Formats: sequence, C-alpha cells, structure tokens
Amino acid sequence: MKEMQKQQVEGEELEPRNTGNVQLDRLLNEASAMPLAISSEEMLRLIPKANTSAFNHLSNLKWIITGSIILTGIVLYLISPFKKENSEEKNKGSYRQSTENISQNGSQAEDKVAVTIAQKQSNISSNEQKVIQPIKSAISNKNSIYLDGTTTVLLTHDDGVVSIELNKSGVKKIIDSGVIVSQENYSDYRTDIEKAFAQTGIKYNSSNQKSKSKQEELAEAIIRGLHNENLLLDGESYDLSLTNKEAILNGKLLSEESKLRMLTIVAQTTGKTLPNDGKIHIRH
Amino acid sequence: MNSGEERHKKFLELYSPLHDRLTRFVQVLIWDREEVRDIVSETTLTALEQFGKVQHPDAFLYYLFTIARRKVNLYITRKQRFVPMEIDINNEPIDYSNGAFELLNTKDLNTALLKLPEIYREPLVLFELSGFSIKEISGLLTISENGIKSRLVRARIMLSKQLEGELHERNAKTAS
Repeated sequence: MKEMQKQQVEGEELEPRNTGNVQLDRLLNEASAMPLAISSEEMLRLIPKANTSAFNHLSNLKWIITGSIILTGIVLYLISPFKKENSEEKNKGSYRQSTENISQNGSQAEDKVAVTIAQKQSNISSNEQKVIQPIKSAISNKNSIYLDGTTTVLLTHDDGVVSIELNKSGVKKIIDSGVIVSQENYSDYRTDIEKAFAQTGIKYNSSNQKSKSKQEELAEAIIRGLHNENLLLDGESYDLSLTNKEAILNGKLLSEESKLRMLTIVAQTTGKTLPNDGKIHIRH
Repeated sequence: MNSGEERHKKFLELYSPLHDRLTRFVQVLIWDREEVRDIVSETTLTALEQFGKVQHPDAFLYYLFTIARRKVNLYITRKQRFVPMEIDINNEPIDYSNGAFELLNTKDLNTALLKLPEIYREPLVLFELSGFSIKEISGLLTISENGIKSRLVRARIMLSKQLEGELHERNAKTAS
C-alpha cells in the first residue's frame, strides 16, 4: 500500500501489473494469462457471416431506396406530358395563360427574388375569363414589376364615391370620398366589398398567401438544389429558367441530368410535376 | 472487390490485433464465459455494422472499446447486486506477510473489481489487463493523463482493500 502511494507521490511511471502489492500483481498476472473465452479465429469466423447478412442487407437496402427515388422521379417526369396531352385533347382551344410574378422579400432588401410561373390551364369557366382582364392589362403595363391582379372598383353613393382596391388576397385599400378607411372599419363597407368582388369577378382566395409562401419555398428548394449540384456558389447571382425541355442558368444550358434533378425538386416541393408548357423563372 | 468487401477487409485488419485486448477486458469483468462470448460478439458485430462512422483507423480502438464499455457496464448494472464500496484509502496498510492472500484467486479478483466504482474499475482493467497505455485510456475516457494516473493509483489501493475484504468475508464464512 505504501509502495502504491509512493508511486503517486513521486510521480513514477506506472507499469501494468506492478502495483507494489505482490498478491495483487499475482492475481492480475493470472487474470491476464487466463485463456480467452472466445478466440480470435472463432470471432473472425463469425464476422464473415455477419458480413453476408447484416452488411449485405444494409447495402441492398441502400440500393433499393436509391433506385426507388430515381424511379419515382422518372415516373413523375414521364407522367406529366401524358396527362397534359390528354387534357389538351379533351379541351381543344379552351385554355388560358396566366402569369404571376411574385416578389419575395428576404431579410435583406437585396435578397429580393422574383419567381415567375407561367402555367397553361384548361377548363375555364366564364367567370374566370372575366378575371383575366385586369391581369392582362397589368401584364401589358411594362412599368409593373410585380403583378398580383389587383384592381380598383369605384362605387358611387349619394354621399360620395367609395374606391375599393382588391385582389384575390382580399381588400387592399378602401378610400371613401378621398379618405383612406382603416382596416378595422372594413366591416362597415361589407356590402360595397361584396359588390366590388361581384363586379370584377375576382374570387377571394384565403389560401393565396399560403400558396405564395409555397412558391417561395419552391424557389428556395431550387436554389438549394443548385448549390448542392455545385452549379451555384454562395452569394453568386443567378437567373434560372426551367421548363420541361431545358434548364438555363445564367445563360448556360444545364445538362439533362441537372435539369431532371431540378424538375424532381419541383415535383417534390409542389407535389405535382411542372405542366407541359410550364416555366419557372428565378433570378437574384 | 466491391465497397462492402473492402470495408469488411479493412474492419478485419483493424479488429484482429485488438481482439485479445477486447476479450480480456470483457472477461475479467464478466466472469461467465458464455456471457463474455456474447458480449464480445455483440460488440464486434455492432462495430462492424457501424464501421462507416469511423473516419480514421487510429480512432478504431476508441470506437471498439466505447461499444464494449457500454455493453459491459450495462450488463454489470443489470447484474449488480452489490452497493459500490466506499473505501477510505487512508486506512492503515494491510499486512500481506501472513500468506492469507495467496488463497485468493481470479474469481475473487473479479468479485472485487465489480465492487469498485466504475470510474476506478474501467481505467484499472484497461491498464492492467487490456494493455492500454495511459494516453490511450485518457483518449477513451476523455480524462487527462494525470487524472488517469491518479485514478489508477487509487484503484489499485481500493482493489487491495477490497480483496482484503473478500478474504475476511471468506474467513468469517469458514469460521461459522
């Protein structure tokens, strides 16, 4: 015991099984000389068995998952044109084309991202066709950077004129005889608002804000994809145009593989494939 | 040769030199040889399954023994029937001159080791029986080398005391 404490006090180098206690050293030596419960050879014989089961199983699983993802991407890509062609045949000539430009404001002003999605749709009701008018006029106005289909309706009353600015997201502004009405008083103009919506044919869509954020999400997912593909460096400005036919990044045509990845991202993020004539435009 | 075979081959290269150390570490703490075989096998298979996590060959020793320590300690915790001992290491020295200690065997050593607190038991077994250097134990347990040295000295004293306790207990049983 004194010998042990001495080792500590004097800072001597410790040696295995040299404790200063002869009997303890004897027991430790006996323990270290005990035959092994499982020999190295026996253990090594067990390992290859494990290799063929657990290891290969994991390896196979990895390939199955990878294969499934690729297959899903291909199927999604292939299905989209067929679906489109079928619906086009059913509704010959009856389609509209609308363009929505959505501005995304990030935490910094310079991070503004404009996403343009051009989408061809079929089966339009007469009401929807009316809605196109303000949107079309807005498109023709080249000064408009971000177009959201906002329109203004003027309603004349005995005591003045009420101007209601509205779009699919709801009422943007009400001006009663030149005075801007605060939002908490919008309920006083309920009848006027209903009239304005009826006149323009615009249908209030409460989920519009949500879909806007979905498009932001899509833009972010695509940008992430470009970074992952090493097609884009951090902080680098970009101008991506993506269709089913081609993907052009900063004026350069991307490879077929990269284009397919971007289309897969679109399908995964939005839950549907890009329509046949669909186009996604992201720039920063 | 596919990547799975390469990985397997690499595993064997790293594992083979450590097998004896690993088994000795397990068997001195788990006396039951069947249990030892199970724990060593489980440790090895776990290490093989997650071998991809090992970034550098030098890390394999720590990786393997970390798995083994976890399994051994879990086993001991489940089987532990003893309250960890509290020993005042400043007690009077033991008298080894009477030859009574010669009656102790490796089973007694195992019993005494299991009664040591884990923080002393592990470095002691790794150092005395599994051929770990102080630096390696320091890396495995993430404690400074001086801390390990200090624990080893204390562990040796505690183990001697515990063995003395084993001897007294045996003598008491024999007398009764």
